[in-house]
Amino acid sequence: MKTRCWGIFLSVLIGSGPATGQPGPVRQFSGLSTLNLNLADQEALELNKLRRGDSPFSNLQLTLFGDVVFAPRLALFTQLLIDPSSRSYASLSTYLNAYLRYTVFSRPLADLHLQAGKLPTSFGVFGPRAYQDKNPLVGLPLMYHYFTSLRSNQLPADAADLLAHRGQGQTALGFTGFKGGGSSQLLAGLPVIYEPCWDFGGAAIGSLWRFEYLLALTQGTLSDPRAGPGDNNGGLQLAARLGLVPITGALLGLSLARGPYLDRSLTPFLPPGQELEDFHQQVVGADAEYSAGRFKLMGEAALNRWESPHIAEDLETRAFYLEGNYTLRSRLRFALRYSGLRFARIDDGAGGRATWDYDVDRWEGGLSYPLYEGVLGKLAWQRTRLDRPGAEGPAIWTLQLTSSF
Amino acid sequence: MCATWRWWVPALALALVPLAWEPAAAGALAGTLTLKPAAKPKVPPRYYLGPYRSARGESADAAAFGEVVIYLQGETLNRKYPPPAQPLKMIQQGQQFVPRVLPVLAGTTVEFPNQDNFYHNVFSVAGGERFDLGRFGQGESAVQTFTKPAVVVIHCEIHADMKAYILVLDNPFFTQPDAGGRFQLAGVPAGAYTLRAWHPTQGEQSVPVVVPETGTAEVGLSL
Repeated sequence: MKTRCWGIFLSVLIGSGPATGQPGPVRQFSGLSTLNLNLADQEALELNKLRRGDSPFSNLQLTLFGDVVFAPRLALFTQLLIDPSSRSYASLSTYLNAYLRYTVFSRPLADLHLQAGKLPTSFGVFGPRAYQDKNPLVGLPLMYHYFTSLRSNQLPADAADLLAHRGQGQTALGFTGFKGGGSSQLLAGLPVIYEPCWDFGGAAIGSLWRFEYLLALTQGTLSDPRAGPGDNNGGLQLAARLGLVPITGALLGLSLARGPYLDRSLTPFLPPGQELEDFHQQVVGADAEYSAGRFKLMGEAALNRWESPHIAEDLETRAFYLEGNYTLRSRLRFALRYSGLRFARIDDGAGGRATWDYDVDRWEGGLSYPLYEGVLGKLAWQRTRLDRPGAEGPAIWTLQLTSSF
Repeated sequence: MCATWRWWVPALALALVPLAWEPAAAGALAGTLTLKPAAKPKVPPRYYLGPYRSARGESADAAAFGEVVIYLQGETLNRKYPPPAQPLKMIQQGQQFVPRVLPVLAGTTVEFPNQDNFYHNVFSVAGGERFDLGRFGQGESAVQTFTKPAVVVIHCEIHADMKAYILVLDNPFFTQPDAGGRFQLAGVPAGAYTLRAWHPTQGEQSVPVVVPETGTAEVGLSL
């Protein structure tokens, strides 16, 4: 698999057509390297770990970009993440993203582009800011990566079973297993939105006057995007976003996504007469941004709902973040972000009600300063706290250097 | 003693004349620049970001000759020149800086008016001038004075593909070629200089030139 992925990457970028400067495809290579020096408790770093084992706090990361413009309206965008801290069993396909964009038209008041391949997250507005040279802090908002205790490949037998595993989503190794059946493959829990992994599908994206729009059809869901071209169930996710620029400097948006999220390994464990496609993840979100002068404020909120076969109530989560930054004339930037996850209460089977996972809060703050052209230094702090007995909420202090080339 | 005094005083006075006066003789330089085609056409942004952050409409090809600066360097030009009394302009229009290359004399103030109906920002961290002028909307502008000779790279943080260059020079003997590549520098004090042609992506070339006391010296340059 690894050899095949490398082959695709290299043959598309290097092997086809004449060299740059001659008639034919135009290629542009660039990259982003990140060095992190962390002063942190291991538990705090674990709360930022992604499925592959890497994290925004990895000591060393390198992202390589290869863009090919085949024709003025047709371009291929490719990126490959290299992170030595990743788990050895993580497939290379989870690190390789590529999609084609065809510009149908682009006029001063409207444009339309069709995209196909492994697409960026089709929800909200945080995706483009997840790169470390665009992120004023180091971590990600909880709604874009934090793993709840729910799984796509194991079923909780009932509400009590789910409640017994609260707080076990963030690490696959610490998960003791649901009793409702499923695969023995180690997987982390489901996040509301998993931005670090893109999804296979197609999308129409564009704008009309003060509106921007997106309509996407993908194999996976926001919580479980498909890293490879194969689907894990027969259903597709439909995602849409509509944004409005009401006044200069402001942006308001509404997003929604709906699709079946359960893995086909769960088919034998479903209630009689029901299919995988009967159980959906559904997310409705709103985003807002306003900036003026040296100040910028942005935020997103989402209401997420999973349908689980053996639990009568839908599993709801409210997710949000609010972020602000202020830039001085010297380009020294101060940034602050608060993000949270709030889990709905469900019947615990013993006459009470409890949140189906532990609520989570995260505070992040930091300074960033461009040392040279393309070189950014950051000093960031993060504290994540789970609403469970004994949770201390240890902090992470990070010194980061990113270099784009 | 008196005889000795009579001959060396006028000699000293004559010797001091070039130091005290600008040479009255001034010639001109003219020539043609040949420019190779740009190596890399523009690649569209990786992320589609909507009308707030991305330009709509086909982007115009860069005016290649308009991105070349031709300037003179020489020890006899090293003196303090007064900068222009009025600010020069680098407009933000159609999600581009116009002009994309602006040569200025050290001490010049440049104004950045925003003519787009969305926010722009102006900042630079390279070239000795570090500044961020914040975000401002249509009809607003910000100014920055460039004091040190340098290549100042200008960006907009909202639109990552917006990039421009301000070449800050220490004397006023600079120009930009016309659409045919022709250029002329007039009023140059006679003497020997280095003539340089600079382009932000195609590098720099220099040739020695001698400016006559009268008339025009022809010179060819290629980048």
